[in-house]
Amino acid sequence: MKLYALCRRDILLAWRGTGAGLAMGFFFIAIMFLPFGIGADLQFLRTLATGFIWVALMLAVLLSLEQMFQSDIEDGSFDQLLLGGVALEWVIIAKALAHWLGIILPLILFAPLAGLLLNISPQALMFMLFVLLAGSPALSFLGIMGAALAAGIARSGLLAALLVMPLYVPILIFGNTGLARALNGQTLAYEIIILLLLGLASMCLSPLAAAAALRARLK
Amino acid sequence: MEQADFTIGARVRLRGQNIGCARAGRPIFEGVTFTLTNGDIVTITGANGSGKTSLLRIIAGLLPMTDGQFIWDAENIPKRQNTAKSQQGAPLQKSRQQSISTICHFIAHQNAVKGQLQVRENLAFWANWFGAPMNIAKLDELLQRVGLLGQADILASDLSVGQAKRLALARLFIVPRALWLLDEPLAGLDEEGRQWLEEIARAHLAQGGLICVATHERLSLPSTILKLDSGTRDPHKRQRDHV
Repeated sequence: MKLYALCRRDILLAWRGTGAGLAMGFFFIAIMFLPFGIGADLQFLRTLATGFIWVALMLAVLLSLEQMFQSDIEDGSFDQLLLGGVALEWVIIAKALAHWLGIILPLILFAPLAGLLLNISPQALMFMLFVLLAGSPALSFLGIMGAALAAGIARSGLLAALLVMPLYVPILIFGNTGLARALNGQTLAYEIIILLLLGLASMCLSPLAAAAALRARLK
Repeated sequence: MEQADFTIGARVRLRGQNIGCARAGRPIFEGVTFTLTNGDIVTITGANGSGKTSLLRIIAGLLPMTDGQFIWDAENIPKRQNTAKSQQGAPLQKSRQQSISTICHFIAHQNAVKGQLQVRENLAFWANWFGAPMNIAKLDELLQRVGLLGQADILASDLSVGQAKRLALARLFIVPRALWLLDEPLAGLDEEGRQWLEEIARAHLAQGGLICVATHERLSLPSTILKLDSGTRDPHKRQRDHV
């Protein structure tokens, strides 16, 4: 109940504040700029599309990391969250879940639209949706680790993005090869499994790491 | 393990012994000793930077102390006639954060109010978070109590400083907790708000609650003064005069 309330509040704040809107706006602007940038070569566009969708998605997510803890720490909410009798690890899981539901999931649901803009065939859009969904939980859970490490520092968003960037690389690699193979009509079983594994591993480990980072900050 | 009873009215005693604190490697205060029992209020005073807020945060378990210890003595008020013997308090050393968090309310300088949420939504969230979910009627009753019923539907960012402070103070009534830690609670409050605060503080003490308040202004409540007086100006000369 407590965690549900926290999750709900964070989603609400993401949409009423700048978090979700900024990520969404950034994602679509980046996607829309690409065709203008590379010209009218449709085949080339399609080759670039998969990788570019991942890159745009990740940059949009990195942009949203700062809000995970910063405003809570600044306005004193974080102290109150600690006084609620809930272990910090659960707070982090709830916040990561809220980030995924509030910011990443809407981005992914609109990604087929972005795919159409980049000349991905309509039949392949469904596969794209699956691959993005499989890879996305890890984005939230790895992201919150960086956000926790950088929390409370001025310009924490930039630091968090730098810390998280290398951790996103495996997701980018497997996500992109998976997506490219799906678009060529091949099966994509093993990439999906690896993406899901990365997601599960980050779900288990990153709350512990993030909690340790935030506890260290208290000192 | 038997759980000590920290509900309001239960007989408790909080002793801080030789509490020391350092920020950024520099000692702020040390050797702070105080005792709080039911109905006691301690006013923490001191110059800017003398560590008033730090002391409150240490008591709340939000900041580690460099020295000293807290001892909670709790005695269960016998529900029936048998006289319960006093038991040494909760195992605070082991997991101070978890155990102390259910005993105290901390009203910090920052209000923990989200500007993008309505006043009622703010309160509803904290009610859920502190484990006492409230329906709209109950929320409105509480808002009436702190004088914000007329502002229930506006965004909290549109509140004045004093109104936001009242919203923060409303958290005190979500769940009853024995120890109130108030950091400059009068900041931004008008004369009426000030009287109201003294009134609720008096009522809390009368119920057997405990209050630690850090403030520059005197509350018109009979209280023990704990003066933090060291550190910032001359780190080598630290006094140990505390109550």
